Amino acid sequence: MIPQEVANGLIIGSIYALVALGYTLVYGILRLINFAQGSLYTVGAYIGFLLVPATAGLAHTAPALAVVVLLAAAMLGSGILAVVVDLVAYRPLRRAPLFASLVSSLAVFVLLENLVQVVVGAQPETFPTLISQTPWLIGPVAVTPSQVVLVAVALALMAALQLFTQRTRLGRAMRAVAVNHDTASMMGIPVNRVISLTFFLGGALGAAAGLLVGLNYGTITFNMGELAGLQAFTAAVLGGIGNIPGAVVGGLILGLLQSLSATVIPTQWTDAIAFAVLILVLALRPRGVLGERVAERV
Amino acid sequence: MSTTMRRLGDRFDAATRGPRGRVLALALAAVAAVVPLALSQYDVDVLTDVALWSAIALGLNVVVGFAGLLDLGYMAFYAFGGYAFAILSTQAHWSLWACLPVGAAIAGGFGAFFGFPTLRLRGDYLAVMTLGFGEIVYLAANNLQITGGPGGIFGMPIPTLGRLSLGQPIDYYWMALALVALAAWVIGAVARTRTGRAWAYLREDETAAQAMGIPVLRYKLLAYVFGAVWAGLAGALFAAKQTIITPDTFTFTESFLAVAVVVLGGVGSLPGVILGAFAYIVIDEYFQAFTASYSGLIFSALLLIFILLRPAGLWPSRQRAQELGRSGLAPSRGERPDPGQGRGAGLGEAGAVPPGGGAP
Amino acid sequence: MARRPIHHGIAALVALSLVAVSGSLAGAARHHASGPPIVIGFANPLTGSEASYGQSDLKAVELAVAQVNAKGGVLGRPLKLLPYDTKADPATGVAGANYFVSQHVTAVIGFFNSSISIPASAILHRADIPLVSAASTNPKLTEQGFANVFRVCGTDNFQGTAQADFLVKELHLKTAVALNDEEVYGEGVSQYFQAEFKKDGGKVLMSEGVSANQTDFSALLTQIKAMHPQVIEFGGFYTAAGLMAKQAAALGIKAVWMQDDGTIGPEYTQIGGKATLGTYLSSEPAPQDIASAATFIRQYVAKYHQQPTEFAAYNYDALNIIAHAIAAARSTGAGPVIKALARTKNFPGATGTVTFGPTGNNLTAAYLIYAVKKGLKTVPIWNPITGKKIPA
Repeated sequence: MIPQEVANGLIIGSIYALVALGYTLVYGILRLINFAQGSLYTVGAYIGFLLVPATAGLAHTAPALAVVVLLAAAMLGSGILAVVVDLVAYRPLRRAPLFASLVSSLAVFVLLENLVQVVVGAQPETFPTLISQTPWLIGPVAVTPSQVVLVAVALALMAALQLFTQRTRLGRAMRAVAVNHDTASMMGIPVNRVISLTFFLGGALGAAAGLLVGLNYGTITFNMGELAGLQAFTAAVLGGIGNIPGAVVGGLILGLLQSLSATVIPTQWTDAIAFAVLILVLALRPRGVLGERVAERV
Repeated sequence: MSTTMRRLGDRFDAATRGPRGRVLALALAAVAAVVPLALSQYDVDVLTDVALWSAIALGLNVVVGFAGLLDLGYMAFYAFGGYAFAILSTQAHWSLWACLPVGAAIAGGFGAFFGFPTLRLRGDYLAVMTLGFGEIVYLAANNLQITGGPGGIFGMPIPTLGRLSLGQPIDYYWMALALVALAAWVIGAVARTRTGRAWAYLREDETAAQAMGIPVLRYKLLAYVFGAVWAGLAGALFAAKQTIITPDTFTFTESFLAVAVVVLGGVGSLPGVILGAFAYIVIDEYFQAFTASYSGLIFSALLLIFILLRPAGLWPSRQRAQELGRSGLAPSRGERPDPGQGRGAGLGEAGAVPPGGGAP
Repeated sequence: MARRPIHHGIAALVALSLVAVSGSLAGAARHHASGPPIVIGFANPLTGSEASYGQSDLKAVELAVAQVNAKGGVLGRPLKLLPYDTKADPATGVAGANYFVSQHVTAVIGFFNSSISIPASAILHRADIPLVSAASTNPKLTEQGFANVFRVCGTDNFQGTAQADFLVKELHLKTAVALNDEEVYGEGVSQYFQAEFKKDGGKVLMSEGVSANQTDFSALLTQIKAMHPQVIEFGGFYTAAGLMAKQAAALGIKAVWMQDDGTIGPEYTQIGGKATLGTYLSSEPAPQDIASAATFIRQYVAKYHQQPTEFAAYNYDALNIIAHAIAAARSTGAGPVIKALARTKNFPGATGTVTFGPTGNNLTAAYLIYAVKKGLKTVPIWNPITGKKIPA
């Protein structure tokens, strides 16, 4: 049973990690909790869902390609939405008190969630099965090809992000802006554009998570981002917010915690675990597992 | 336009100061008590909701408006009051009057319990921690046997006063109105005491307040407790009116709406938040359709617009209007320094970037 | 002596013509439902996760109202429906009950969810308004001793029993895990199932609640997998049921699923996909499986261009039973109508004959066991009352 729970935990953990990266990227560069990240996750899933009929033909002949197309569309859509959110709701409040940005962030989250509900409806929607859900039995563990793809894509995206921030010029620019806006600006870095790029990446990763969840679990609802968003935020804090490897570590740890806890407590309480972890981390070790006290974060 | 509003606001402030203000308040209360006798049962019911939400808004205003602590789990206190009455009245046959102080005490107690771990946190982390507490309370209400699970508790008895049965809509309305009047009076009075001033100082600049010798942590805790009891009282009344209580009334969305009501109405301003409560209920009643509830959409959109253009709210308190700037776009006193350096004013952050406070 | 027959004859002729005239006048009036409408409240989840049932129920009742009014209404007055969306939330539902009271409706059909019907019935009982439920199957509804409460559908003690008897006596399965969504209905079905399963000699390995809004059940299902149960029974609705079936299959769980009438309908197989093949469901007969419902289905499809869902025919009958009772009582007063409803016997409904027992239950309500077969079609396969298979 334990090996299976570990596998389950890693699968959920990958989703948390992707969404947590969105939180951590924005926080690293703006010191702002982007509550809207939860709704970017939802929007990603729904963009995919709305495009399913358009890719129906492709789904028959080359389902893998259909998945790629849906993924790309979702990531692009949510990425652009994230940039718009920053322009409309956060940038005007850059110099305003923190309180205003927080309220704005919350308002955007609820607004987007309600927008999805009004546009698509409150009923659950289903995805077609594009990747096989018949399990492979590897010893005591059962995993479906769909779950394997989910983890693989998530890991690939995380690796890509890490490469991007460490090896490319834009990535270095992001890190510079995360340290200090004024200094980065003086070095000739277009700070606002880098910030927009950061939002784009965060939104894209959140959308990828949402779409993967839709493809794997098969069912999505307009409020899926509420709980998932909060849990992913917990993961980001757990790992050390502002820290990219931290978000990944935090996501996987949280996923494992939730899965393994089922062996000791009734499963209806597993959602509470994320919140308990959040409270404990903030109360006892706010910098999280990998967070440092120094200014250098990303 | 905003200058005219400000002048009107100033004139109103001047007119309502002192004994004239008290007479005006009494007159308003009398009108509010008598007018609904002429309205339909449905309208009275709506006004009762306005009154209950006004109590919630007034209580939250203490935490958010006075002390500057963004509480995203405030509805948990509403839940404590409501469930206290539900459980005690159905299991132990307590009357509503006995349950009210119990509800208030439980809410206040948890206010301290939830507030305590947040005391050293910066504004955004404080907000998130309160959110976590709020969610845990919701999950507990949803999963525990004693709270009846998702189905909740129903069949609460009609309140009685001696031999008088108080089950008519107008009775609930008067009870709620009495609560609002009491809350406004007490909170308004406290705001003018040293406690109120201490809250104002710690809201503007926590570090400076601490340097001046104000026991900042103690006042923060007091704000939580004092703010929570009003939600506890309102929650008990709410449960009595509905005769049924379910966890869905106390979700994060509801806590968010409470914050929205306070901010839209005018954070820090008592008449403002009451106006906000009124606006919320009215919008909620009139924008219902079978296909979707548009009130969430409208309210979050309004909140976004207001926080960008008029963060002080509909009926601002002059002090907060100054602090937040006439518009969120203009630089104001609470300026935010660049990330990567120490944080300045705003919501009482302290020290370096990590969410904890003070020195390592 | 000779005069009387003539007088009698004239008198008789006059009387006869008077009768004929008044009769035709009355007949003419009967074809025009006029006068103040008789208001019937209708409360169902019209939005949210059970809306597919609620919307179809509403259409069925509207169809019945239209038909009744076309025939001249009741007591010469038209029927008017007052719909209310409960959003599947008990507090909203209770507010709806209060709303009906304030509107002085003559009767109420509702509230679909047992968790809402039970508290709402208390409110309607205080106001002495008759309630006919078409889908709330938890026995507690009629165990409260309220004279104003009736139901057309069955009760979960029979449903749970039917599930257990089928699994043990027909399929010879011995071990089960019992799950429920912790709401009054789901919890109730599961409890009755467990009691009967144990009585039949089966063993319940675990009984646990899940949250209705959960989407990931893998942790729980992994635990269940390790127990190797032959059956997993779930009390609840189609979203959670479908997701669980799907995730169980992904974990390689081979147990047989036993679902309840909250999952009957296309959504379960849509959400659960291929994993729902081989699932068994207990349910009241769907309209498509009842001979007497054929006319109703035809009329429903003609008007709305879609098939009615599971409970639609029961709601249709509820309206007609109420109309019949008001006519029989010759009054819209609460007392007479409730008495007339209590006397409902062998009423020819679309769902079969309806007879209300002393507690308001439908004595002739029945459950069938369905199975999801190839092509993801749900078909009835077993009758618990006869204990016999139903031929394809």
